[in-house]
Amino acid sequence: MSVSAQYAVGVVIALVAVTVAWGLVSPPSDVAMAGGPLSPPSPQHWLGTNQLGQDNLIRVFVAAPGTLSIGVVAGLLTLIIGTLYGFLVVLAPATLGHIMMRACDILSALPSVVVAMLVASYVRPGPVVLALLLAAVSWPFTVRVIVALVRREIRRDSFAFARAFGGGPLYLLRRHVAPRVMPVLIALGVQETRQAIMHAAGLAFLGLTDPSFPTWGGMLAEALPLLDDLSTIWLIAAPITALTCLILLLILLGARLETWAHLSLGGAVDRG
Amino acid sequence: MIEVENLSVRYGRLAVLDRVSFTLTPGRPLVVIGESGAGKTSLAKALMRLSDGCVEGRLWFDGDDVMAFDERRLRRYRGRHAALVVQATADALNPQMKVLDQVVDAMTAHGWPLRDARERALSLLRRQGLASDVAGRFPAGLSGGEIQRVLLAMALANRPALLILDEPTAALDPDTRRQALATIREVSRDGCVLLITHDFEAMREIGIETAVLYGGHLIEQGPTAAVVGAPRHPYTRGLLRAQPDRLVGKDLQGVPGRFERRAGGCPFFNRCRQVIDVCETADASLVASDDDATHRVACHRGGIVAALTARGLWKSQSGRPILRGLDLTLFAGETVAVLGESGSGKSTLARILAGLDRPDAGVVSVNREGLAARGIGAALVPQHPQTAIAAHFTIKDAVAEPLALRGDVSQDDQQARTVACLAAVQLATDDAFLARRAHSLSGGELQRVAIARALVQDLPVLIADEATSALDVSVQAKIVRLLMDLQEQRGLSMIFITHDRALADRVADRLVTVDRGRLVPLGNAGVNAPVAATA
Repeated sequence: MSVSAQYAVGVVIALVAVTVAWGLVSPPSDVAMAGGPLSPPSPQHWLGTNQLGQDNLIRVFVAAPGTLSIGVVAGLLTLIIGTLYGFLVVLAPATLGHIMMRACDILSALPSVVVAMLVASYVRPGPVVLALLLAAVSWPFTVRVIVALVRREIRRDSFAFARAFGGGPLYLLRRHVAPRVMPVLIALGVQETRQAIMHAAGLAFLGLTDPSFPTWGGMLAEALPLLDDLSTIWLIAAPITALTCLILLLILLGARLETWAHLSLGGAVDRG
Repeated sequence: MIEVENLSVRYGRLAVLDRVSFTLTPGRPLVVIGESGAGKTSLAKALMRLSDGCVEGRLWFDGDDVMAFDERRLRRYRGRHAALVVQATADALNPQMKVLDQVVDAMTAHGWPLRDARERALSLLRRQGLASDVAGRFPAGLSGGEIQRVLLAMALANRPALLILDEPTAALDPDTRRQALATIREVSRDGCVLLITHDFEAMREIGIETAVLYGGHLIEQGPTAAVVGAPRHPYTRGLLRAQPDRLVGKDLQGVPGRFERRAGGCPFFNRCRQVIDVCETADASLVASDDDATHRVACHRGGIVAALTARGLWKSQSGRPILRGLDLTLFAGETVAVLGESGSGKSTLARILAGLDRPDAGVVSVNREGLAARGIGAALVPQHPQTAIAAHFTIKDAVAEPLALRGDVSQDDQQARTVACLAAVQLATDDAFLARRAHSLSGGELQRVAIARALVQDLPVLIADEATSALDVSVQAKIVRLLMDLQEQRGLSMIFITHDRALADRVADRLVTVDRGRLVPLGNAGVNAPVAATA
């Protein structure tokens, strides 16, 4: 990775981190009703206003921290739980490992979005609870991939040596397994973040999240009953563009990180 | 028959010979070996009662107490019953007398008629391969070898019952040496012979019994075949390894350190690599081994200890038995080369011994008590360093990993030992190299990193699985040399798995091969291979 690319990635990561922290620590309150309802784009409101006269563009920005924080936190949590669980499955005695895998199979057999909807409809989660909820229902899907990866890694001689040298499970995971599966973990992380954002948007769309903080999904949900009028296109254009751009950005970032991790493991330059 | 009991020789407070006991019987010549200063010449002189030190102990000659002899009896003992051949020096012969007269004189002094004495003297000199004109010459013009042979002829003149020879072959050329040895062998058939030498060739030819003298102590004694074939004292093994007359077999090694006279404790204490507390304070007495009553060793640890023992190892892989009740004893400071075709289980064995894999049955135990190593267990240099060293590790992390995980080695110490080991295996030690990732190294470099990682642990046992196969011969030579030096200096024990028979011959004390899941000896690695050792 070139130096400028490193800076770019650094800036993006810093921005994401700040936004996530913002979204988690103090979810922003909604935007003032400043314009006429459902007005088309104008110099005052570049992307028009919604039915309450709130500026669409500003709402998209205000909703960004909430959306992003839920996605990143849920994605990372999913990944961490999945990795730890997968590692434990591999290290555990064979019988226990089998039981843990079957448990995981049962969890992944449940329709996770439905479970999330069920829980969400009772608790009307805010951003932190929502992130936890999404992580709780999605980690079982990552376990199988991670177990396969970890199984491959611990069959390596270097792992056997480290164990013979007296390396404990945490050391082995941190130094021998995690760095080697990092490219895949990054890809999984991006995928999980994307899914969490989609699910969060979905739940917001269904009105199952705390309505006091704006999210892109919530904005889409608000637009839904008005879709018979063509002028409401501006209402969905803003959140959909933001969602698409974010996911694109995540994919690009993921690809970069993957290449970097791949190269640091000794992979050839033409891959990744 | 000569019996020596607790013979000690002291000069002031300095004991050059300390409670030496042995028995000489006709037909069983005893060879005493040992390095300079071991007390060999003091022993010879004490047996002749010629010692100028303070002699203690008992000396029995055919049941008579030699220490109690009066002057007259002593003269008879020295001139007729016992004879000493000293190292040839210019003053060993009387410069005022012709050679023949000196030999004749030795006989007439003990009652030989002059005629017979002259005849016998001439024949003795001839038998030693001396030209006929030597008999009529004065010693001044004789070479060292000729003087030595005259001395031997003189010693044999009275058909002594006890012949003591102190380095009789050192000054001789190969031909005359052969003759001298033939003579000694003949005498030894019905006389008592004590041969003091550091000529191992002579020892093997003459000695039926061998005793090893170190610092005035007898530290090992037994039948020559046993002492040479399976030396049990670390010093004896070191001495045998230092012999340049081994045209085949393991490269020259020596005994670490140098001889220091010690006030108490085992005389070999400061050079031994398997000392325990008691060695410092008490000296050991000669004790027979369990399996051979005639082979005795003076060592608190019962001789060279086993560094690694494996008993009844069984291992199957995918249903196929690889090891079937394999036994192995690896002695401290020993190298065993394991040869054998691919798939015979060599690497499986290596991994089990190093604790990487578990056997289906059997035990492996590593003994480190008193061994000069800091770690516990056996270090493995793997056959495939590409998989054994994590590709994403930096060189420094890869080498220091075992130290970092031990938890009691400081960062500085880790760094210093890593750098030292990398230098020892001929790799760069600059920061840029230390920070490189393992995947960026060539196969040969990586193999050396693997060797460095094995060395950095400083374990008593090193298992090298094809460890030098990817190296060019010059680097291989340096690393093999390094391992052998470590063996000499630190008492490292090694298992050397290789396909290279020539290399195995150079490094190993003995060769074994895996045959149907067990180890079987493969000929003699060298002349000094302990053939009797359990494979």
